[in-house]
Amino acid sequence: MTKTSAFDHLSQDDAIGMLRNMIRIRRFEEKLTVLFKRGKLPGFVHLYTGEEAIAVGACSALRTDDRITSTHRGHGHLIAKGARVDRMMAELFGRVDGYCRGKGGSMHIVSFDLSIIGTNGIVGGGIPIGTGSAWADRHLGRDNVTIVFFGDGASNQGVFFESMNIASVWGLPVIFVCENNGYTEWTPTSELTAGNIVDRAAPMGIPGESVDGNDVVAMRFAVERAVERARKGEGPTLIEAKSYRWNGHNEGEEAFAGAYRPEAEQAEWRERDPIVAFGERLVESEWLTREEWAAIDSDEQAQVDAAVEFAENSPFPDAEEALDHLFAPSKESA
Amino acid sequence: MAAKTVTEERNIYYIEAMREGLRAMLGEDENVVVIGEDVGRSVIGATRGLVEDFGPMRVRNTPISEATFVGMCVGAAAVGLRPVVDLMVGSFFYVAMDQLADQAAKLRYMSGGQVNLPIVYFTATGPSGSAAAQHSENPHPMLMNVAGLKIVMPSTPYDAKGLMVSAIRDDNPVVYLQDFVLGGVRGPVPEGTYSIPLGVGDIKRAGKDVTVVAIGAAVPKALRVANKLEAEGISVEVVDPRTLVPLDMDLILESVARTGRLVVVDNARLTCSAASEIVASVSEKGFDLLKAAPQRVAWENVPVPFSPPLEERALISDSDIDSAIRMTLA
Amino acid sequence: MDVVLPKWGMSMQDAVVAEWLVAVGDTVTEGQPLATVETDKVEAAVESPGAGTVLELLAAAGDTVDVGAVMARIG
Repeated sequence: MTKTSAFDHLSQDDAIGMLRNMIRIRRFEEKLTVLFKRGKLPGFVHLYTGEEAIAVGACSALRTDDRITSTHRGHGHLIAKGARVDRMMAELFGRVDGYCRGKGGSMHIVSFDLSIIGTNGIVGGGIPIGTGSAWADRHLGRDNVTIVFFGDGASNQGVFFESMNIASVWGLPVIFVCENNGYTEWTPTSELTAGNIVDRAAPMGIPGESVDGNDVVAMRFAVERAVERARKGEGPTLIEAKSYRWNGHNEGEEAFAGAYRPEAEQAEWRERDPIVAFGERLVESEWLTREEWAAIDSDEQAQVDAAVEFAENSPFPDAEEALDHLFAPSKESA
Repeated sequence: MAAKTVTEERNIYYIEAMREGLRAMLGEDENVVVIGEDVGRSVIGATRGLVEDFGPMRVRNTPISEATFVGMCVGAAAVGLRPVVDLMVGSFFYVAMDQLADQAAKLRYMSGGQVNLPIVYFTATGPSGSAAAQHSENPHPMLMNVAGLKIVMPSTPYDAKGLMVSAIRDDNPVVYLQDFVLGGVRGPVPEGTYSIPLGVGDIKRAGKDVTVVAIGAAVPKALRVANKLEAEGISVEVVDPRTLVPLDMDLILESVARTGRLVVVDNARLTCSAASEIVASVSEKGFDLLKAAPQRVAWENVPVPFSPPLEERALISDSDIDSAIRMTLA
Repeated sequence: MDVVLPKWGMSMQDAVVAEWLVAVGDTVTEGQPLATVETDKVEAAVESPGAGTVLELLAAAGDTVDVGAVMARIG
């Protein structure tokens, strides 16, 4: 019973898995909004709500052993790369069952087992790191690729230009995915950023592609093309994915940042909800019923609720662990 | 000249000793790679000739993008390479400070110990004579304060080779600092591969009246002054920590327990110098051992000036060391 | 005129005289190579600072000379 696909070579399972991942990110981030307001989180969080299609589309084009580096707004990338919401939540609560045993928190959740080789509290900080993993994989004769996620703000950091340059001259299998959500912290990106970010690829001699970051299928296919080039040894690609963050730069900003985004603009982007858009396409294609969609949603909501319970029941690390993990033991050290 | 005797040791330049360590590790482990600006030609000299033996992929020239190639080593080390970087000049670390201090130094700790980052960042560093402020820095005091970086500062060709081997075999980010002026110094170095553990200091000269802890290029100065004072009956012990992180405080305290007097000579600005740290630690842990107030000998708190008399005024001299030693004996 | 050993590199402290290319009594021109010297990384020529006659050579082949030291005199 083959159906004609509206999504080219994308399989039904893949498509439904992508919808599920986007919903998981959305429900996770919505939960954090509430937990933050209730004072349940020790630190602060930057949420990915509204941008789910970018991470999910991009990571769905990767193999498990392909790598990513992420940003301060990284929860979506982690979930899209296969991270468990319970261990993520435990990390956000500073508990011992968190991915980093409570040492990292929101901006530094990382799982090397999932080939997530860094998230970052420094804007642009992960760009050289992902360029480096691509260098090592190529040097060691592997065919893994690395996606470097970063925002529009990071596109004005020097390491962005430096990394594109070295990736181009060394022909590295790295895909630079710029998530342009329209705002550099609290200032419109257009006021701070010359030209189009995607156009910064051309002078480096690498392909650049601009993608609708709210279209998960477009994102998937753009990254697939870049991955194919990278695996064949044809070097890096820059993808600029345009989207919008529904929440603030960080939760709690309303206390100090004031209103800096027009209400109409926010409403317009909420109308373009990437999850609703994709779900509707799946329903129209008869790949998914509304009942199945609702079931996925309630299942993911339940998982997120369970994650909070898991996190709350996980103990804090022993305080002496503050002194652990600085250096690896080494046979050459005294 | 004396007749040539059969010996395992040869006198070679410090910079050649570094190169022998690099060559041995490139030969030992194919995951070791050396990168940096012009490492093929090697203006400073430590990587000279390596590209001919190991090829341009393992000894690889980079663009002048310090922040990026310092950071690339983090990702590369996380997935299996053992990168060794030639920064060329110590103050170039400042260009790459985020990638060094926020990324390389912190990723293992922040991840709860998920990853090892075997990286060596080596460079020539420190004043070399009218190189002026931006080519004369010694960044070790600043980097000692960044938890997560081991710091090596050898003073002899022998230590330079053995510590290069250990630094590359270590599974952590190691900053390896070669004081510029030591590069052209000769000393005995065995031909074979040997290692010196990180965190183990060395008594470069035994003495009983005063302990002088000297770091990097300050070691030969301290030895020169110690030899001169011997004629006056002042017996100076010269202790070389060799690595600043981890720091061999046990050796320093043992020496102070014998002499009761301490001078620390650091080839760096005084404020928050390694000398400051060592004097503070000895004061806390060994106050009862001290017969006199400990002394620090370090640079004036100014950038290193260009003109020779200005530079001489700002930096440390043999007479500064001499005076500090006498102060502890007064 | 003093012929001094220049500092070619930041780590250079001294050099070994490899070979004198002139002898006492030779007539030399400005810029003429007088000696080859070896350091930790370079082999280079020390040039005559002016025209004249070589009056004396102050280091022998094989000797180590400090940066800035006088190696020869031209008159």
